[in-house]
Amino acid sequence: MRVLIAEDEPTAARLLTRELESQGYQVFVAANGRDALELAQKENLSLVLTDWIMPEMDGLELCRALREHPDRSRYHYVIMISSRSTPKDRENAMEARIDDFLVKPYDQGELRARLGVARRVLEMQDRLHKQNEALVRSQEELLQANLHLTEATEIAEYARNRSLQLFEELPVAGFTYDTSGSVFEWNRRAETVFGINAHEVMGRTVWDVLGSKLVGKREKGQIHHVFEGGSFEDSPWSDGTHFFLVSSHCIRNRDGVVVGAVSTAVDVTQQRRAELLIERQKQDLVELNGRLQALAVTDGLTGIPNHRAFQERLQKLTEQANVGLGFSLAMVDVDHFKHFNDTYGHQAGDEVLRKTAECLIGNLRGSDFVARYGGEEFAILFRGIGEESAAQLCDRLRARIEAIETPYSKITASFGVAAWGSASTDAEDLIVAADQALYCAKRGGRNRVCSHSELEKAA
Amino acid sequence: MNQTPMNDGRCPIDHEHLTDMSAGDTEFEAELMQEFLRVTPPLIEQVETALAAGDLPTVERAAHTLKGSCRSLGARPMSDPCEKLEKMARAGETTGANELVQDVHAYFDVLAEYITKTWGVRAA
Repeated sequence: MRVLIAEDEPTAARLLTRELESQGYQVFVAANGRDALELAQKENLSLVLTDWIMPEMDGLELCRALREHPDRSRYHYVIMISSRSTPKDRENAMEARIDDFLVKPYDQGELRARLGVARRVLEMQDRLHKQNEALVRSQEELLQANLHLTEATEIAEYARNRSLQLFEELPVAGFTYDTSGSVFEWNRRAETVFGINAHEVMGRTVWDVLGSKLVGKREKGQIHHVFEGGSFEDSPWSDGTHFFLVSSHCIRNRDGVVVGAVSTAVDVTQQRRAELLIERQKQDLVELNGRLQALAVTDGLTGIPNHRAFQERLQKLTEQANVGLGFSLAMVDVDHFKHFNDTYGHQAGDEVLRKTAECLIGNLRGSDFVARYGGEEFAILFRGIGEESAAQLCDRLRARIEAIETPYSKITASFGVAAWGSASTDAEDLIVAADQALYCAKRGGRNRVCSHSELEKAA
Repeated sequence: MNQTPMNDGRCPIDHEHLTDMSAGDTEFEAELMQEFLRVTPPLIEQVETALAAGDLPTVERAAHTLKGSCRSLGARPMSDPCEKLEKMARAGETTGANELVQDVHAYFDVLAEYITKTWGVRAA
């Protein structure tokens, strides 16, 4: 055991040294507090015997300095040896945290006993210190382990929060539910898309929340298919007003058992509405086109097919005639039409034309066709009949026209008939032939029917 | 009235105390005495000088060391005037201090003579 003596008085130091050495101590002597402090630190001395009054640094200051030493692991046991022994002196010594106090002149036996106490205290301190170090070490290990655990928990928490947030912020409606259909997650977009708040859906089934209009038999079937481990993508769901593309996948637990499903719904109502609008506009266009086409082939004044329609029909009939279905053409001209215009005005002329057209179209067979050919001239196509039959029908029409009631003078018309095949096998020639017959009828006194074959006989 | 070494009548050294400390080792005792004779005159001089300069803290400390030295050896008669000086200096008192210093001188002279006679050592 090593001991430090701080004593400025040489004889006292000599005496103490001798005594301590005889007790087996290794003794270090310093003549003042400052030197003692230095020596204690340099030699790692923990047992200190100090005088009180010394030059440079007294015993109390030395004790305080040792207590303030940064290396707290070393405890210094300080015994003050002094002739100062008033209660006030002892109080000061205790305040400076002196461990023991020995009054000069001291007894050798007492010194030995006090040193024995000091040694035991220091040994205990040392043991405590070692135990404390071990404790600190295990505390540090525990702290480290805790730190790792906290980090791992934080990472897991972060990952969970992140995926939750991701789900919450998805740009499509998303919701999850267990295999009984009971909803347990309902993201922000789902709230806006379906107009239902998350707190309203918790614990209710998906089909209850979304309603039977949207989740009908088919959709429920799809969900149950997912519960069996399946999935579906972009299935169109609609309640009649809203349209969604719904996808669903099953959710499995760690053992692979399906415990629920996650669904996403993309609101395509706007697109669907746009599509429907386009569809309707398309139909409108078709209708409009039809009307335009009708206008293109209809005579504006009389409402019956115009010249162009006549040409088209004639073309068609000539094509059909080539495979054996014959037809006849009659050219009709209102007699003295100029007379109506001149006498009763152009409106009267228009009305004559309208009434004539009305009469013609009203008395034709269903398979026949009449068009305004131009001016006061009309053309009639009779399907499947020859000149003679056509002439007969024309004569009936002529009589009907004559019977039209008008506020003006009587309307009459002349008819020229020509049959396909017998008169001509060319559309242009057929018209020419019918015109010739019409000319004949005019010349023959008007209000009559003349056929091309009669013309040929006469010639 | 202060006692003087001349009329004191006490033995300059408490032999019982000294034997207790030295465990009867007279050689060691002689060593101690030699040391005492070496360090004491400069301490007395320090007291005198400091007193003349009015440096009471130094007077107090030097007187305290002198007192301790004396008591270590068991030189009780000489330690008394030293203690008185120490106390006066602490109290800021100087009246009669010079006389006390003279007493210290006188006791030391008696003591030195006794030491030389007893242990055969003398101041260097």
